[in-house]
Amino acid sequence: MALDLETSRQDNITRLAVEGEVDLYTSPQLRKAVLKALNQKGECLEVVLTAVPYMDSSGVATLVEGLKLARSKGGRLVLVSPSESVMKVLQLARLDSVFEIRANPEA
Amino acid sequence: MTTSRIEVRTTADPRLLSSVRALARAWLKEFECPEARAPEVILAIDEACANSIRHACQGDATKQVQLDFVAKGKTLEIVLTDQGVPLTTDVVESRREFPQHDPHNLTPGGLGLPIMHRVFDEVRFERGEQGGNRITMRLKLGAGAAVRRPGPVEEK
Repeated sequence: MALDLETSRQDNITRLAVEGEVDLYTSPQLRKAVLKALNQKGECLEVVLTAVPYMDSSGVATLVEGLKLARSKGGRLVLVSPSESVMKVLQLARLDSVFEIRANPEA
Repeated sequence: MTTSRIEVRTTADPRLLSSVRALARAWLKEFECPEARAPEVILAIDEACANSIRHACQGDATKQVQLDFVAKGKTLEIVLTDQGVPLTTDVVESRREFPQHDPHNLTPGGLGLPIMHRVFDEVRFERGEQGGNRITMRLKLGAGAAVRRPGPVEEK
């Protein structure tokens, strides 16, 4: 099943809300949206992961790629309110300390 | 000892991964895999299938991936066989553990095999009888079973 991706922009911050399971089939969709959002220099991208009940390593790799791209352009990539399942896979891969993670989507 | 077995054969199509996960979820519940452990086991099964589809079968959806779910007493075993390119010994040996994540030089990818090693009590890679890969993943349940948590990998 395809991902539901919604992009919004406020105060120079792009917010990408992701809904659905991220796996080998759906992660290319997420990758395309992340890379598009980080097209400009110095962008701040918030990826909201509250409604992601499952993420595999291809989803994690997509987020790592986005983080690298954001940093290379002087920007930021922030994971917002990741679901328990997403947090577990980040912890399992020992990447939870690499990302900037914020609990509250409105903070 | 009673042995129960389910065999599933799929084409190497990533759209089918969600169905494989649903089957794995039901099977793990039936054979009393602890709820706390089931999500990471489902992840590791998914990673094995995704690796097979992406790297061994190289996206060729005419190739097949077979999964045998075998329950023998307190041991759950998943055997994946595919028709893809066999994994090399170098790849298998170099991806037993997670890459060191240098915050200034991050590398996307390379997580699938370490996840499988981290989650299962035993993972064995072999050539399939008719070419391709045969990957056996074993999980021990009940008293004495290892309780795995995220953290440093234990030395064996």
